[in-house]
Amino acid sequence: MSARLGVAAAAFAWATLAGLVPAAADPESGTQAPARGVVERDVVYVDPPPGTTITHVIIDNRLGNVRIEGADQPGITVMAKKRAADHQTLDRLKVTLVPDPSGPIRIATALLAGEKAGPIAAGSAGIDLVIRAPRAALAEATAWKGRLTVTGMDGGARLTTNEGKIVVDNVAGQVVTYAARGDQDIKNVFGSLDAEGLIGDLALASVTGKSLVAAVHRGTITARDIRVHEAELRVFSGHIDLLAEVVLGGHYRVQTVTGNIRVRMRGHAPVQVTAFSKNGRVAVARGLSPQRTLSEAVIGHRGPARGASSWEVTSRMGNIRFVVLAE
Amino acid sequence: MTCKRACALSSAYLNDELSAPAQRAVRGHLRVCESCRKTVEDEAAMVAGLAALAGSDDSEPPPGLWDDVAARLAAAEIADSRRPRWQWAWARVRPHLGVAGLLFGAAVAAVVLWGVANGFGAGDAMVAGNKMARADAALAARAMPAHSFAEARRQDLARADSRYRDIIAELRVEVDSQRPGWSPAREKAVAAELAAIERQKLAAREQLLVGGIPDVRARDALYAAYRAEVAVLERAVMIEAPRR
Repeated sequence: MSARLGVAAAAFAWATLAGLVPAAADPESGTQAPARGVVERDVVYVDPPPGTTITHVIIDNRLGNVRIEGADQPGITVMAKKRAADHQTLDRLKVTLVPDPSGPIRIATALLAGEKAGPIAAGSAGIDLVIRAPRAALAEATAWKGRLTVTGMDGGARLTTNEGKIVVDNVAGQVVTYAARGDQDIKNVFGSLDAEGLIGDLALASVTGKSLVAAVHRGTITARDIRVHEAELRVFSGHIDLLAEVVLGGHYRVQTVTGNIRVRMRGHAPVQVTAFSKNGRVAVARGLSPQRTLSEAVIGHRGPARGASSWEVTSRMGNIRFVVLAE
Repeated sequence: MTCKRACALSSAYLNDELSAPAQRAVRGHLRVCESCRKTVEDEAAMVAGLAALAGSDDSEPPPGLWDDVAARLAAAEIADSRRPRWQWAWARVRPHLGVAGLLFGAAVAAVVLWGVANGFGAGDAMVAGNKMARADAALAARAMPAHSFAEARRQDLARADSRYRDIIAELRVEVDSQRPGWSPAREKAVAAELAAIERQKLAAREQLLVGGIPDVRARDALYAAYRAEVAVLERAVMIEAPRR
């Protein structure tokens, strides 16, 4: 235990100290231009503790953007870009890195309280992080008011931001995202995806995995090339446009309160569709037969009921359109 | 020698405090630069006047001067006390009004007269005034930046908190309107989920710093509970298709 703490403490101290020293002179930095501010870029490479593998990268940056890139390397590269109005404030911006021999590595940023420092102008100080991590690790990042980007990771990702865009591209494993206010652009996910938010649009493309949950309170969900066994798409106020491939025995639920829904379906698997709008119109493609209504719900199916994928599409106020695309 | 340098050295030049080469350089500049010469001449005149004032013997005011000043001040105060209120208001405003102010006043008067002549109703004026006030407030709010990092953080947190709370309140209204149509089992399930989340919220609130430095990390647990509550309420307000 003490050896483990020793390694962690040493790495922490080293990383903290390294973070204070600029890796290279930056043309944007300078002592003569406090109005423009000063910028410092630090680059640190950290090897995993001997005999261990980095399995989990946890980044907590409430001071700016985070970008995580998967790389074919055992260690982790941290590139920090600090910006502040003056050098005093710049010195208060810290990046700490704490590796744990059991696998996780934690990177956090902070604006230290200055003893004699006065108030810092809003928006004048921040840290943007670019992390190159082992591809197989799980990437977890939290931002407050910043953009979160993850690319090329195979161990999944968990991303949370209060205000900012989330971008995910080419990630395998379970992906969980939440943007309280901000758009999300997620594509090429090979695994389960849970993308939710309060306010903002959700654009999903090429998601292949076991399950998909996509939900926003106010915004639009546009999803194309979705191939999952279970899907739940939900918008309180906004539209849903889904282009999905039907999977044998899949379960899909698409729901809005006030927005319209368009579902386009590809594939030959048998389907069973129930579409219901309390105050809107429902149009179900002729490719589904026989169509009939049950308590105002439109029921249609294609192929045998056994093994059919089930679709439940409902809206309280919006219109529903269900289309079967020709191959 | 530049004009800036010459002006900076002018006081030392007039007081003979410069070295001989510097003295020559300043003098040479003044020979060719009329504006600097004028500046230094003015300064020289002022220095001479001050020296004369310091050396004069009649710096003591004549006898009876202060009595005369006091009597005039008293008369002015008595006159002030008798002035009507509008004169006081006008006296306060007048120094800030130039020609532009007078023109603006004339323009306002013209608009008012035109409005009266064209049946511009009091209600319309009030609506227009309210709109302008709202626009001004919006502009002021947009133009007024948070003055410090900590203050901006407080504002961000307040906005984030209210965003969650507003959406939850909106969803709860919807849920209440939907609840009569629910089955007892559904109602019980939703109530149980919400009760569990309420306990999470209470626990998270106890961890919050109240009145201290705004720490966004301290709110993580609370926001996680808010998110769970939003998800439960949203699922509850979605309608279900009729079953066979």
